Amino acid sequence: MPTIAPEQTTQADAATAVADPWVTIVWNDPVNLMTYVTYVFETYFGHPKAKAEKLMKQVHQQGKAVVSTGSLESMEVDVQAMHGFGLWATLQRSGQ
Amino acid sequence: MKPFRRTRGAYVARLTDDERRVLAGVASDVADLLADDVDDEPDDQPDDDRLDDDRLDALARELAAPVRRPQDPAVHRLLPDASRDDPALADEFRRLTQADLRDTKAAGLRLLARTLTARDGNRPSHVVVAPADARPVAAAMTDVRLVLAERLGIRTDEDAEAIYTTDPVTAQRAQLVAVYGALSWLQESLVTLMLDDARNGVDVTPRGGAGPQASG
Repeated sequence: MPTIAPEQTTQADAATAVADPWVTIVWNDPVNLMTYVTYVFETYFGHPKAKAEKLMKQVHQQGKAVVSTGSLESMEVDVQAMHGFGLWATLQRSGQ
Repeated sequence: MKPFRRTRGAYVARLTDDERRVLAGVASDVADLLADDVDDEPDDQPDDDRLDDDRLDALARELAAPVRRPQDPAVHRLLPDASRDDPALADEFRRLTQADLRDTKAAGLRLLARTLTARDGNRPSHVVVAPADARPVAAAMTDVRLVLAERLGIRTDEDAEAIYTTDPVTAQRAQLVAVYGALSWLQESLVTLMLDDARNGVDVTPRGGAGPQASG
């Protein structure tokens, strides 16, 4: 019976595979209430009141705002949650 | 119609029978609309269950095929593109999430319809939203309003204001405007209380919850 050496774990691979930074953007729409958008930003993202209201106003007045940043996978989770709330969100690479 | 207030640990509004019936009907209609515009799942199996090579090839192509974008613009607004400039990314997101999102929304809309029709024998005008249901109920109100707004042609903030001052022309449009207005007003009263409670630390849903899941 051959002896099998324990598999080498390649921690270096994990360290070098730094996720590209992605962003979640929420777009303005004429339907969602300002109170509701603020509620979503405060309770889902955990933003403090002042930041949630600032982001809400940015969406409303400038048409969009970046509401979270991170790996592609975590942005997909956030975008799906925003769509669940009825907000129109998209993801894209940071800096685009 | 009386706005939501806190009453005995719940959010309670008061509606007439007609208001309940109309709003619950619209919520059910939107749930049906979502269910009808489906192509998340592979087509039904062919009648002939013989799996020859051609059929296996077809099946493999089907599984790898993108999930279709909704055809109805109102359904598309509920299940929007996740990228504005990268169709492949939007398709992949749709393939991964659309079926779940559709199910979550349909469950929330049916919860909203049940909430609007449930009756307390002693207080027949009361519409009672338990705090644990408030998030999916509020999200379902948004979904109904998004669909009504699409049908009413509301594209801009100015359009949203103008629906109340422009002659609705048809009785059907007048009804849609009335339902949209009533739901907007009810949702505002509900979410104001929810936001207030969240800020006072009595929010029932922890940060990063998976979104507005209906509880049952």
